[in-house]
Amino acid sequence: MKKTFIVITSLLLLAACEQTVDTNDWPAHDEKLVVTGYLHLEHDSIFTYARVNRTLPLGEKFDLRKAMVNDAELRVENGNRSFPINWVQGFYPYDFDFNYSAVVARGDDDDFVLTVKQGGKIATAEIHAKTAPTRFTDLRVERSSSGYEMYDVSYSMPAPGADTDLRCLIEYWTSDFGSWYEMYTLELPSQPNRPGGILQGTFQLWAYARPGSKPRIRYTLIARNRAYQDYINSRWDWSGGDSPFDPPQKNPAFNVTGDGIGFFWYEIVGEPVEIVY
Amino acid sequence: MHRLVVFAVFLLLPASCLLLPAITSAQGVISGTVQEAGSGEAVIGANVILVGTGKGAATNRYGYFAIAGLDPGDYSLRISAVGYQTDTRSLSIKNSDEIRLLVELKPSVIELGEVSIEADRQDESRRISSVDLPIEQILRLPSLGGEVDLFRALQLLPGVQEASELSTGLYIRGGSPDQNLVLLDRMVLYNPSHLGGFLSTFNADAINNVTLIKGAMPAEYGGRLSSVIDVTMREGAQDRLRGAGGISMIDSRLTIDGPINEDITFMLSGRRVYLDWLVELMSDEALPYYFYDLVAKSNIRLGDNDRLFFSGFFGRDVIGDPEGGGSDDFDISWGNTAGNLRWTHIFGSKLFTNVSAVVSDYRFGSELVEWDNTRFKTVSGILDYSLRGEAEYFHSAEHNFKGGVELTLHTFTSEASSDQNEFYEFDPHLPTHRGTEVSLFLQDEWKVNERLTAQLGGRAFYFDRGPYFRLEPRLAAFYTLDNEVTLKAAFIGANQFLHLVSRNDLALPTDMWFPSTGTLSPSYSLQYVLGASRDFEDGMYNVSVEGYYKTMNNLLEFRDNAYFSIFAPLENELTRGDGKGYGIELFVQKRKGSFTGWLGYTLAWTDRTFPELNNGNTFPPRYDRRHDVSIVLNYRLGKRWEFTAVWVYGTGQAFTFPVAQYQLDVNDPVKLLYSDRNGYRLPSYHRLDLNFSYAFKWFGWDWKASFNLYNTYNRMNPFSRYLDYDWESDAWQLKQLTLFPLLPTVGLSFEF
Repeated sequence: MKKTFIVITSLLLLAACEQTVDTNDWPAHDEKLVVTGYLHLEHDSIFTYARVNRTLPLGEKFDLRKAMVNDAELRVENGNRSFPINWVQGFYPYDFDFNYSAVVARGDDDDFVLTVKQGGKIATAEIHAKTAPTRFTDLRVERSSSGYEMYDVSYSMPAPGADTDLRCLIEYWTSDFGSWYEMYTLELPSQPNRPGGILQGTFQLWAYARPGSKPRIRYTLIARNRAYQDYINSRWDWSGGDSPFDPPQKNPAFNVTGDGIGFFWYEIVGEPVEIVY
Repeated sequence: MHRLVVFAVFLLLPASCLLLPAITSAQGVISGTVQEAGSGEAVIGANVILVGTGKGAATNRYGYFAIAGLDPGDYSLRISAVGYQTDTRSLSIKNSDEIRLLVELKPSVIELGEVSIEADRQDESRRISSVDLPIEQILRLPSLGGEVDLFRALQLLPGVQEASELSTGLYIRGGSPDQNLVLLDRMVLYNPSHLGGFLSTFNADAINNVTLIKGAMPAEYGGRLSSVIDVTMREGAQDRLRGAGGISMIDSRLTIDGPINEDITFMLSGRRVYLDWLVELMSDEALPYYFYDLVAKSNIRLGDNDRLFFSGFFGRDVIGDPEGGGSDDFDISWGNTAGNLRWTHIFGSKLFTNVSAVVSDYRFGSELVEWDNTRFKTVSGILDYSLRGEAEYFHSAEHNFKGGVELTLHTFTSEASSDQNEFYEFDPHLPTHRGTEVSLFLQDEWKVNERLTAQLGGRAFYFDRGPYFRLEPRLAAFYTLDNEVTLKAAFIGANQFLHLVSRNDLALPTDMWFPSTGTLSPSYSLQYVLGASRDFEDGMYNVSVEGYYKTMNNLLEFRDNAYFSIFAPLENELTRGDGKGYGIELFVQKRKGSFTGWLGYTLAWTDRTFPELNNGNTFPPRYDRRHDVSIVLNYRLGKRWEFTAVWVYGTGQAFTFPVAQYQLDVNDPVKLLYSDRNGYRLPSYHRLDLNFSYAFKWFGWDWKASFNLYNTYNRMNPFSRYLDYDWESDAWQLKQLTLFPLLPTVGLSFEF
């Protein structure tokens, strides 16, 4: 009798366990344009690239060909001027990351507004490209006492600020090939560490040179806005956790608004500084 | 504006206390205690009315009442209370007579097949946003797992919502559970739930009275924004040793009470869940979880005017590695410990005082042992020491004053340690925070005339972690149009210095109480309530409608992507915002006869606006529910059979959910695009529960067997939805999690 009671009791309890069922009650799909826009400012030119996709409903298999948008109208407002970014056949998805491209001369204004129109939908994004931090105010290189092929590099410049991703591309001249070869890309702090908004720092560099020769090394500052890092983070962030026990999920920090989602970022490449030893 | 009102209240109340005694003189007083016949349990909220005079009073939480300022003459006194037979007696008052009564009310006779849960008109006319739920009615409701739960019963009232089927957390008028002041014999319980919110900590057998105040809190309650759940324990029978208990499918409970001698009674009650034992008996597996709780109360009569009460509560949830002793061990426990020592004294017959000393301790602790025998230990909790003094002055038939002062010392513990150092020393890395809270309240219940009654009151708060000083108005008015219709209005302000920071809308023991600081200001709310109540057919039916509007400021939530670690300063992970709630509640009751019940309907809105959440856009909290319906029907068939049906309906929960998929680049994984915060709604929730019970005698004891059907028509109510990627079809699949399908359970309870 006791065992029977326990068995019945436990079976009833087991019946109360959670049940998972499939359902086709998918959320309504309000299609959005998926925009990634990229301004590459180098020398006197702006190389503009964009990729436009669309969101797809959850209930179907994701098909990139259905997601690609090749008939959008893209335009960038920059100060008093406006220029289109045109679709380029064959770029994407096989040959290149972007399906829209343009090259224009660099103007005086640092504000850029990207507008994407397609099928009655309008997505926009605004960025302000800071040009100030792309040049060292002081850069010194000395042979390190720690080793024959080690160099101590000290630098100084106006700090770009927290919303900027700052890197220094360090390249080495190879006379054998007659070209510059990338050695390192060094991440630099973006916040000032000296009065007056100045960023100062040092790093060590290993640079091999043939005995009797002097290595040619050049240093190029590259600044990107926060949206670039957000874009990188969102590409590889694969957090799950739709459990009710977890905090609510949220979307990445898109800076494309309106009928679209996505990122619009810039990358400014400063003038290289070459030091010969 | 409300500060002016508060100042006026605080200036006028003491002045009126000083002036009014001079105005009245040479008048009689009728006072006394109302208790249950036999057991001697205090009858709380009983109505004591001098018939034909419009004068009356309600008993306080100790069963005491006084009606002062009575002219000499003959009176007829009627004493009534929900669940008891009405008592009427004649009295004669001469000059300055002070008559002290001991009224013993007999429980309603159920042999006639009739249940009377009648509430007197006088009682109704002084209530706003407040419900007394008789414990007899709670015990009749269908239960989940055979265990009747107080909070699940309260969720059936209009204006009270549940966050999910799993949780007993009460979301009242747009407020979250931490905005509810939960009191057990005036002891604050910081985590009033077991099983992660599945059951409340209250054992129904040990309860005498439950009062839910949904918004218009009188001045005596403070420290929370939304509501008060004031639970009073039984004191212990005076006539004989009694017992009550029950066996449900998840736990067993036993309550014993009775007299120790002529002046001392006691009550002891315990409960333990035995799922762990059942699982162990059934299989080789072990369920490393159980909970238990113990409550105790003693009532010592020191004379006609003095009583001493001791109340205690101890409850624990324990999750532990059943193997024990080895590596990868874990031991997690949490629970409340509370005690209250109270002394009541009656000065003359018009001044009722009580002084109490309260300790309340909520603690969550874990100890984990890693594979390399490294031990990690965390402790978080809140420990309160309180001293409270309250006085109730029954000045006259027109004025009833209440006042009090309370001093509370809070200690917030948040420690983490490990034995990674050589000598196994637990080194707390985080400091202990302390906070001192002082509050003062005053209230006058003023019967302006035959039709109009006003409650004028206010609270003053001081909290030293800031420091902060706040004043709160507590105003209510009741206007009786005729014998059956009462119009009601209230305006109150409330502050909250303690915040429960939660990762989600489930009550989890890891949720931490956190005090206001210099940078985290107290939350505060303003509430406006308008209502009307009408009786039909001599109180057979009652219809009540209330509308409310509540603003809430300085609410706290975790930032997006907050870093959850006991080592990280919690303050840095929180963000502040505002909210509001408004709605209309309809409550229709049938209160007499063999067929009783109620219909509750709430139409409500609530939202939150946090600059740092949801891009600054207003969003609904997860428990925002547009429509909420509860229908409770009870039918008693003869002496033995009873049938109860409960049907509930609610708009689907709001939560954040994927609404589309996208790919940023061809080499990227396909990502999910989420809705706005809580921008997606689950399907609506509804279910029917049935309870059949049969009462019988066995070995001289009263037994009741009950059979419950939970979710009778097997509605697949969604607890949650999620997406699962199916690699075979290379596509997402939408899954729905249902917790409780049709669930038959049985229970057995007894009394002796």
